[in-house]
Amino acid sequence: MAVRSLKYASLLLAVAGLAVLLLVASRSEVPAVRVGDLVATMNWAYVRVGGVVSRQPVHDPAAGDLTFWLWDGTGEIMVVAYRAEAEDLLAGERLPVMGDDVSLAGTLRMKEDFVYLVLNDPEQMEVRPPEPLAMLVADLHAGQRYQKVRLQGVIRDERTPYEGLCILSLRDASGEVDVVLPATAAAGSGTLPTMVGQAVEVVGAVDVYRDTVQVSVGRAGDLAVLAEEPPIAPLCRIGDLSAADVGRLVTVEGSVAGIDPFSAGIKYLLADGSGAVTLLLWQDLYDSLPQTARPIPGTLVRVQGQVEEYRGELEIVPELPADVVALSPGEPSSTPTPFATPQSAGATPSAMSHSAATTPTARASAQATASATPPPTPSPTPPPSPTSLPAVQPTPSPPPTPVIETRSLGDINAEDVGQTLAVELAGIAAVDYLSKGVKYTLTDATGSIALLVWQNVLEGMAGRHDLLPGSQVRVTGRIDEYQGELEIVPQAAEDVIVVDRGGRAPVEERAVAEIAPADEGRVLTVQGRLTRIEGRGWLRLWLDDGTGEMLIFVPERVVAYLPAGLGPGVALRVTGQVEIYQGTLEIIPLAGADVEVQ
Amino acid sequence: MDVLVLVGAALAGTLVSALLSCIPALHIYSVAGLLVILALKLEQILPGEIVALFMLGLVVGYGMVNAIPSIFLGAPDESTLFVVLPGQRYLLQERGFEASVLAGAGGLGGLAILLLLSPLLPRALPAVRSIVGPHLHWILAAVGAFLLLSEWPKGTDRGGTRLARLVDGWRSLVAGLLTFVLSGILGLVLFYGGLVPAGMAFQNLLPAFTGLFAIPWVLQNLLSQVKVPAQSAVGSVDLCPRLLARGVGAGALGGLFAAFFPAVTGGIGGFLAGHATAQRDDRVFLVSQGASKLIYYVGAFLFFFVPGLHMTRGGMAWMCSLLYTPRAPATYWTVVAAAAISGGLAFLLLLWLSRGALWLVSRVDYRLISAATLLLLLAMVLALTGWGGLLVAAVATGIGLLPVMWGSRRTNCLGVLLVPLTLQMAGWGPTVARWLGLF
Repeated sequence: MAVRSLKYASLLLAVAGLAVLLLVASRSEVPAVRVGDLVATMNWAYVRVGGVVSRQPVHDPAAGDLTFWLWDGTGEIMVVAYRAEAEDLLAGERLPVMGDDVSLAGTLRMKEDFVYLVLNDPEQMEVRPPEPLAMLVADLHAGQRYQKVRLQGVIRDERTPYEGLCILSLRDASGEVDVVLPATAAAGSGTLPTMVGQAVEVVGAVDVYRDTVQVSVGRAGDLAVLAEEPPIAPLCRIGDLSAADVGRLVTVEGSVAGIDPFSAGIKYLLADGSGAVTLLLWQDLYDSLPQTARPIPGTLVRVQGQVEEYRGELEIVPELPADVVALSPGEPSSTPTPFATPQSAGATPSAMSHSAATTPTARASAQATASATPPPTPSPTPPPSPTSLPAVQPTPSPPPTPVIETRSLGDINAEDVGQTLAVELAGIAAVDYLSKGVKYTLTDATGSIALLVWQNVLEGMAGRHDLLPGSQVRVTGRIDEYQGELEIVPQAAEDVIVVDRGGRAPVEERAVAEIAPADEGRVLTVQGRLTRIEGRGWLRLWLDDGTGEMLIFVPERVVAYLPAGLGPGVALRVTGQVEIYQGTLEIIPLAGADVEVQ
Repeated sequence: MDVLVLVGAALAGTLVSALLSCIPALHIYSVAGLLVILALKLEQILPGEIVALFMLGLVVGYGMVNAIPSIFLGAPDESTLFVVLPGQRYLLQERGFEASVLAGAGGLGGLAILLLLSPLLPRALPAVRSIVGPHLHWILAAVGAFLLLSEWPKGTDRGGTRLARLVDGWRSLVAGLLTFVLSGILGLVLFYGGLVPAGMAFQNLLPAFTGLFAIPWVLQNLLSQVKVPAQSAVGSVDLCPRLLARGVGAGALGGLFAAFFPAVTGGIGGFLAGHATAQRDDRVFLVSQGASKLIYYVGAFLFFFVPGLHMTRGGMAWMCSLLYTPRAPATYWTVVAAAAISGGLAFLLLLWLSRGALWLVSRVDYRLISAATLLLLLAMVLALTGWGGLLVAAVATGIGLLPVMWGSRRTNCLGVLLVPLTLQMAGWGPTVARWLGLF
């Protein structure tokens, strides 16, 4: 064969063959695969997957990437749209949100421990938002995960555990649920208008966070303000309340028959002719009531609140200032100050003695008894009897133990610097790790303050693993000021008590091989033998438990508190928070005491 | 995992690879593909770390020993394209063994450079990557442009008319451009077209590379009338330390560039470094190509183990990432040590196997080897990627024959990687794929 003819044959084969390949490729169907069937040899395959969006999309403005997750019944896969495609999705308002049915084609990228799909062409993505089911909060359950639902209720609380995440507590007549508004919804589709006390309709996907059902909203338009407030608490006669109502939100109307202030708030005795019940106003709520709405003896009030039980007595505990409405004023002769105890309210004597140490959670274990006692006659609060005053002791006595004053955060100011104060209940909003300790940002309804826990104090703190955003704590400490910011500094480990762990999953012991990227943020315990140590101020320990190797990162502030004798071969038990750093899973102990030599 | 077991796995990989590398046109990545399939089936009993070290041995052995088919049988892969011409010149001068040793010496030098750099890589590479990362698309585009612009008219200037001379002069330039463009389109079809079965997509470049580089060589050999003269092994090579250093230095520049940047192979890296350092001597050229090729193959794989870097460069690292994720700094140092030991073994094997190649080329018909190779290649493509892959290989062969038949550079075939990756990094890949009707 002449070389010349081969030259032209090669040219023909190259051009015509490529045209045929293009034709075949453009006509061929992109193969559809199920996530559960993916295998490593499919790396780089161009495939189609379909399913429901299982996590809200996250847009990283710095990198330009946008990620969301897809669940198809056999497994979950992360979908990544890089800058150009992400901009296309955001600009075209075709961003899929949690609960949407999606079908898309992309390039599979597989690694030993992670699989994701790169969305090459947004045009090839079909998004089908399903019709949401109208539901009551009480009917939500974990089995409906990713189901789109429509709820109507009233926003009872709003909190921001960290910047970019807003959680609303939505209540309807059947119960209360957290509604999560992720950052992308606000960033991509305008600001979501929310305000505590507003009646709203919410469309979102059912999700489960640490075993608790919540509803996740993806689009700003999925949260709409209602003109009319749906009833969320039925009006009840006080005498009809029973232990079976504990946990319910009810509305009662009655007259104030007695007042008993205590360190963390004020208790009223409320009677309506059918019975009497304790109305408990925590101090922060009482302080936020307008003067005219603050009940005094004789005031006829309508109160909406949750039924709780404390030492066998029922209490109504309002959550918001709007829950307490004065229908008629009290006795003109009664003093507006609440600081007197009605001795006549014998129906609930025990309930009238809250101490600063009592907490809502402590009360949950109380025995249930109904409080359908006859209402006492409303009367002005009698002045304290002279006999109730402490008698003057003629002989010298030891100096009294200084009483630590309890304050709400908004009441702590620069004049308190140097004093030791207690904060009855505050939530942790943020955590910053410092070189010698940890700074927590505490908030309550009245304000915020920094809680500075030095490492030596943290070491002995029993509940240190629960000092994370979402937890509620009781704190005693010295008030300091640093760079214009007030901080409360506990002097001993017992000065910080975790009151509420915020529904966080408990510390769990795991084999290394069982720890996955999904555990990021969890506090886990691992046991194994130390294989290697390296460090430069901080330490990296590699722990092998036979199922795999785990990196333990010990921050510099913790190193000084580590037990002695660490070295290759030593058996260790380590508790810490799971983090992912540059793609590698690691466990970070909070204290040296979290690293135990076995 | 016991370090001795890991080093043993690397040495075993080197031995296997050295033997397989002597089979002309058989790329070690094809062998690694089969290994991946096997390792996934034996996942429960074969730890990923052992497979990773075995792969290291494969890549070290191949980086060193594949000089043999390139020089003695003229079978280049995408990284040894430039070795062929000087190598065959040596072969025709009865100095094939010497050429092989020169390339091997370059490989050893390249390995030494990698070992010297290994303590610096964990500190330097993350910084370099963060600086270079946002600019990859235009750097790759510049590499492609340089490849095209550095083509030169190869006409004889003997045409009867001005037009004939013009056509003669521009023929190879146009062929080079056409090869690059067609390869690029082929790459886009492979990235977005899904012609290879999804279950074997990790080998979707195999049919393209086989068609672009291996089969044209086979066909060329089948048609050629070259008679290889008798060869002999020599006891020394004509290479002074200064030339060795120049060659290794130039090769290290190119190899590191190729190992770090996606889609740039050792051949291109060496080519760029050769231009940058103005190497003319054939000996320096062979040494530099040996160094560049080894640093490209081994360096890219070594980067995969650099603590905290999580960089996947080169086909072997991609395949390894399907089975194993390095998690500890100690693994990196084990890999560095194993690479050094494997490199020493590979060089000894190169010397020994080069003598075997001397014997082979003097006794077995060049064309017979080529025909057997063609059958092996087609069987492998069909087995791994099915009929779709065979179709791709056929079209790629047409494109791969263009530079052979029309006298342009074979490196233009690397448009198959450069074009889609550059477009993808620039964010234009899907747009161009849409123009081509792939979406």
